[in-house]
This record gives sequence, C-alpha cells and structure tokens, in this order.
Amino acid sequence: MSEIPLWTIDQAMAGAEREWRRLHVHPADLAGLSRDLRDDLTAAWAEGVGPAELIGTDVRGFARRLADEARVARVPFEFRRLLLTAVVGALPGILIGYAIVFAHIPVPALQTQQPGTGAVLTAYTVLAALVVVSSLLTVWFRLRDLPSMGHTVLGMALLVPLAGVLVTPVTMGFAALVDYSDALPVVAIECGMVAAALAGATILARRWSLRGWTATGRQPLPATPPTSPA
Amino acid sequence: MTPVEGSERQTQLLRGALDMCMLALLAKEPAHGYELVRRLDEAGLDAGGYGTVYPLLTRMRGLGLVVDEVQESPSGPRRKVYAVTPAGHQRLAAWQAQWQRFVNTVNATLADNAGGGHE
Repeated sequence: MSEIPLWTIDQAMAGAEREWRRLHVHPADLAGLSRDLRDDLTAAWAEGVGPAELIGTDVRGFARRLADEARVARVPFEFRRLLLTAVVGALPGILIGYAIVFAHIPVPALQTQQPGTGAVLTAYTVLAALVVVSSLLTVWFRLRDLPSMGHTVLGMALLVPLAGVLVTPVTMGFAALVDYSDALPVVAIECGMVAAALAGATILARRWSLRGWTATGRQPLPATPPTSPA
Repeated sequence: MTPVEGSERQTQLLRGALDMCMLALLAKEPAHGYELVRRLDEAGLDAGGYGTVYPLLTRMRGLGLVVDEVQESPSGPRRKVYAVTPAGHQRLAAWQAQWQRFVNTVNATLADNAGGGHE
C-alpha cells in the first residue's frame, strides 16, 4: 500500500504558494508559477496521477527548487537584515541615552530626590529619540544600497515613534494588571510587547516603501521566452 | 560497488546530461510535463521524477530553449505542451557534439586501461 498521502491539488498548491510567499516571490511571478503548476497537476490528475505522486512529500522543497530554476523575481523586503540592523543601530542610542538620563536622575532615586513627572517624561522622550535616531541612521548607512531604503527610513521615522507612543500605555496597563511585578516572565512579556510593536512598525514601513514593487508586474515570467543563440 | 553507490553514481552521471536528454525527447515530439517524465522513465533514465524534471523544464523555458503552448481539450483539462524552439534545437546540436567528444574521450581512456593496467 502506498505511503504517499492523498493530497488534493488545492492542498499541494496551497503548500507551494505558502513557500513562494515565504520566499517573497514577486506576486506576478507567483501567479505565473501557480497557474502553470496547477494546469500540470490537473492534467496529471485527469490521468489518475495525484499531486503527491508527482511532487513527492516535500512540497516546500519542490516549490523552492521551482522558484530557483524559474529565476523568479523576489521582492527585496530583507526583513531579517533590516530588523537586525535596526536593533544593533539602536544600541549606541541606548547607551548614550542612559548615560544622559542617569546623569540627571540618580539611580536608585531616593524618596527625597524623586524627580518630577515632567523631568522623567522629558528624559525618557530624549532617550527614545536618541534610540530611534541612532537606529535610523544605522539602517540608512548600512542598508542604503537596498531598493527604496530612503522611503523605508522615512516610514520608520514616522511609524516607529508612533508605535512606541501607542504601545507604552498598553504596556503600562499590562504592568498595572500584574501589580507592577518585576518577575522575569512579566518583564519578558512587557519587553516582548514593545519589541513586537517596534518590529511591526519597521516591517510595515518596509512593506509600504516597496508597495510599488508588489503592485506592478515587475520582471514577470516571460509569456513568450526570448530566443538566445546556442 | 554496492547498489546504493551505483545508484548515486548513476544520478551524478545523469545530472549533467538530463537537460540534454529532456531537450532531445521534446525535439522528437512535444509533450506536457508529466508526459515528459514518463518518456524519460521509458527511456531508462531515472530522472528523479516530476519534482526534478518540472523545475528544469521551467528553467529551459526561461532560457528560451523550449516554448509552451496551452492545448484545450474537449474531454479533459487544458494542458501545457512544451516544444523545442529554434534556439533549443541549436543548443541541442551543440550539446550533442560536446557529449560525443566527451564520450569518445572517456571511451578512449577506458580502452587504454582495458588490459587492467598492471603490466
């Protein structure tokens, strides 16, 4: 008895398309690959051959090979590089910022030396601004060769502070819910919330800056392939 | 040589010639993707199945060596039939000549060694 699972064509196509999206294959190329593969799978199905018998059990691997061989265009999101560069770039801002903040707010603050709310807000706003500027400058200088990075940095300059402003009360609300616990899991969740918001803003900025790439049919699969000499 | 070693060696040998064999089979008669896999099997070439052949076919189409044509079928689903382009025929002729030279060289080398080489 065959051990090959009985996938439907839709299941195989969903698996392949998921992998192509993960690889950031350009939407026009993805549509072309998908249409061609579906036609072939359907033709084979009519002859009694299922997708699993054709493709094998590794649909993702097949989809990767197909994308590589077809030399499809990929949208250069480069999320991983962008996020990593943004985090590394934030470090100098954090160090400088804390040095400035601690120079003005003694830690641990004594009851008699409690700074005013205005001073604290100003200090942390300056800290946040330094972190954002440091991160954005690093992203710009390190990744300026990537397409649309100018727009990405502009988008980040707008969205990252906005995300920070929005996530701060949410995080403070969560902290209040857990009675301002400083237990490690609680602190980890709070840090995670802030990191997720800032990362989300960064990804959104990158997607926004590359909306032209995904909207236009850039480098689609050739309908009529070019002829080349042997 | 164990059967596993033999199989791996066969795969390695085929790797450099599979696109040429695919082009040769399509030059004889256009075929759709699955049909081409079947023809390779019938020819005795264990090409690794559709998972290997279809991506390669897609690359050859991108290189302009083959062209596809959608054929509507009154009784079944439409299918894409691949045929060799003039550029593909030229490339096939060049590859065949290169292959012949290679095979002749290898055969000559092996013939030199036919006596066992332990004189």
